[in-house]
Amino acid sequence: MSASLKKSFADVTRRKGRTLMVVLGIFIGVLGLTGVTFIQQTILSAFTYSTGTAANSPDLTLQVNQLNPALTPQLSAVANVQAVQMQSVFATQWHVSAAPGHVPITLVSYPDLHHAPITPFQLTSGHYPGVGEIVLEYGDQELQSVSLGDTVTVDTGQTTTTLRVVGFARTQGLPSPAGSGTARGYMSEAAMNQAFGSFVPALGSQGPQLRQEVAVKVQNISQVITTEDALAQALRAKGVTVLNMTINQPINQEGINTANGVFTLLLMLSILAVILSALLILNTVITLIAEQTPIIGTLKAVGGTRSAIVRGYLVSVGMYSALGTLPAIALGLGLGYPLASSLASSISLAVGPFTLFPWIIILGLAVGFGVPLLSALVPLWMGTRITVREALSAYGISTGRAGHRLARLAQRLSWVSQTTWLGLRGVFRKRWRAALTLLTLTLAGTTFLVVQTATAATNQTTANAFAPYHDDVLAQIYAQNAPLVAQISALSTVGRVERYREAEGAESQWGQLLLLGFQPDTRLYTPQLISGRCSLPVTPTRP
Amino acid sequence: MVPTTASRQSAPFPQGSPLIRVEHLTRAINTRAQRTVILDDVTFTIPAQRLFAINGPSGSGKSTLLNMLTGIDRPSSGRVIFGAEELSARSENALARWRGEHVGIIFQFFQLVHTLTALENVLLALELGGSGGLPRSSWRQRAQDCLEIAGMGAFGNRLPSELSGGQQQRVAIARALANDPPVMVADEPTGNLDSRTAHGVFEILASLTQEGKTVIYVTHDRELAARAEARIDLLDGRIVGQHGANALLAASPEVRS
Repeated sequence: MSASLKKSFADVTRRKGRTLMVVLGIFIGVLGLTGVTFIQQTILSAFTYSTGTAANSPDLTLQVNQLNPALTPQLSAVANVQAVQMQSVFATQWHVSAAPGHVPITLVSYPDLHHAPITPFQLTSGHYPGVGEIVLEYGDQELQSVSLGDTVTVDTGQTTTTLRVVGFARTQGLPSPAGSGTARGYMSEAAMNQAFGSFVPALGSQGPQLRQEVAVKVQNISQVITTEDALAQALRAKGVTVLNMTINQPINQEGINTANGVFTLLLMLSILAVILSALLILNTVITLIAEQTPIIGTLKAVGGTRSAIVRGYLVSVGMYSALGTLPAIALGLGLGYPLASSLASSISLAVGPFTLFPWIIILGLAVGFGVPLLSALVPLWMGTRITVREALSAYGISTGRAGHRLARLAQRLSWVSQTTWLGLRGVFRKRWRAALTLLTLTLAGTTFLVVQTATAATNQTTANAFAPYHDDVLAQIYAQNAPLVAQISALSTVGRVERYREAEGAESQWGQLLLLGFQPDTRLYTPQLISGRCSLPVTPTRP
Repeated sequence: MVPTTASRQSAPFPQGSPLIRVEHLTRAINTRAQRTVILDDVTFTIPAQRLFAINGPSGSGKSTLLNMLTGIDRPSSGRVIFGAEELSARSENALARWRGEHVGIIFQFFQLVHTLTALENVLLALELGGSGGLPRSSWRQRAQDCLEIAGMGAFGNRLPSELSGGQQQRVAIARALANDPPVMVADEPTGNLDSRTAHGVFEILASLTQEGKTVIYVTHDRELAARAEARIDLLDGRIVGQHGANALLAASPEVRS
């Protein structure tokens, strides 16, 4: 180790308390920045991979009485059709250990599992399933702990069947199983037919159903209804009965927009932390230079040029940076993944396996090393401007008018003790340092208030959003089912049952409206009206 | 005196020839209240490879003069010519590089870097001062040789805080020798030492002239000043006496007038 490097190292290690503070300053800033950007990137990637992309979800689905893969070229030739995918879907229950003992699972098979043109899945481990085997979606593990080689039990209607897990897959365009509450598994066509092929559900049954579907991706979504009709005609012409047709709704970006807002706030706080780190470095370097003024003079006297001396001190700053930045990046990535997973599951996303984003590491390194080095450069360049004579005579103390003014003031206020004046002179002797200290304190205080205000505002907004609702359980049923409501009302633990409806997509002059409908005598909903009243069952019309 | 492997440069100036010429040097400090003249029209010549003293009481301007000779301070008027080069024409960085190659400076208060050992202090001077063209692989040996010359060969791994004042000053001498400069400059080198230690330190400095070095030192001690081969006496910023190396001093314009 060269002598100048040893000196730089000694400057870092000699004052351990100061080093700890500076390193912590850099560490916190870089940790925040790395963690937030990593979580944001992971969530956005998961969003893009699953619900965020419309490219991997069918625009319309036709339920048919039989699947004939030979019809695929003919259906693909229909105008506006981009891709056609034949699929068998069996919606059933998976028996799990956690209460209530089962979760919904959608079992899917394609004529060729290797080729699913609209919703392809990617094997992350294991192999494609054969008879008696299943490949589970990666995110299913959040619903039930399961590994390769384990068996899963699913309902077949009257009885159950057991399938061996031979692989895990990720499906682009699929919402997180943890978020949606529905697992997904892939089976071979043969296995599906063997297990569920003979099962014919009763009409209107709520039990498991084997559906045979033709999923279609269109080129122009505005012509989707015309395309749907053309496809139905083409199928009927070949003797295939179309049981049901569904046009899928476009993606709702609301969830990710909310998450992005939170990330933006967190990112701003991280940037503030980085700025505070920069100010801390600035202050530390100013102090270091002030302490080492005679040494700088000596180095210049023995032949050290200004750039050589600055380089030596920058090495010290680089050491601070390395000590703060490298663990911060490692920890930011390490903590970021579980945090991203936790956050993702709350907005119906599955983050998938840990993925390293090189640009985040580069960003962390650039900020962790760049900001301290740049913020140290100015005080170093100014501080090493001192001449040898000034440095060795300790002339480095600025003597300005402020000192004279303070001295005159001290003469007038003779009742103030000399120690107080000494302290005041110390504060204002280096005006730049005093200004930086005040700026640092101001920024730190501002950041604190920003965090407190944002937290309070978010909590209040969340509280306001749920304040009108006083129900304990919300059950979704598909139609007005009076007997079911009566049955629920009759339960001994149920205090009150109210019917409630909501409808999306009503057009108005302000855009789309969400309409909520409650019973006139509702006690489980308290409207928060700013003015006017709720609409009544029969709203009087103006003459 | 330890035979030196430290002296590698052949002396560029023959013994007794003029090495540094100081011409009409004035240094004044102007404040709002008054103008203080520290050096007033000083002219003299320093002969090469001699032991040269600048003597005078406190406040006579001798340290300021020494700072002018090393480019640490700049004159208000007049000039310092080292060999054939005028110092005041150089920038701060150029002066630092020039000092590294041409002048070894010894301070009254040693000015060692307290976080480095004695050997590392000498190595630092080699790193910053250009090392006199030595390859990096020889630096450690060179630093050790310089410590040997200063009688500190066995103390290379000691920190300054583990050394006495006299030992620290010897390390400072070794550091000044590191880049093998032709001129050694010492500001009150024994001013902070007891008489016995001071004697030892001075002997080392005096012996360096035999290695082809020009040694210039500032002292207020008349006895120590008297041991120089040539010297000037300062009082209130003016030369009041010149001694030794008569021929060279006679060549000085001030002496001629």
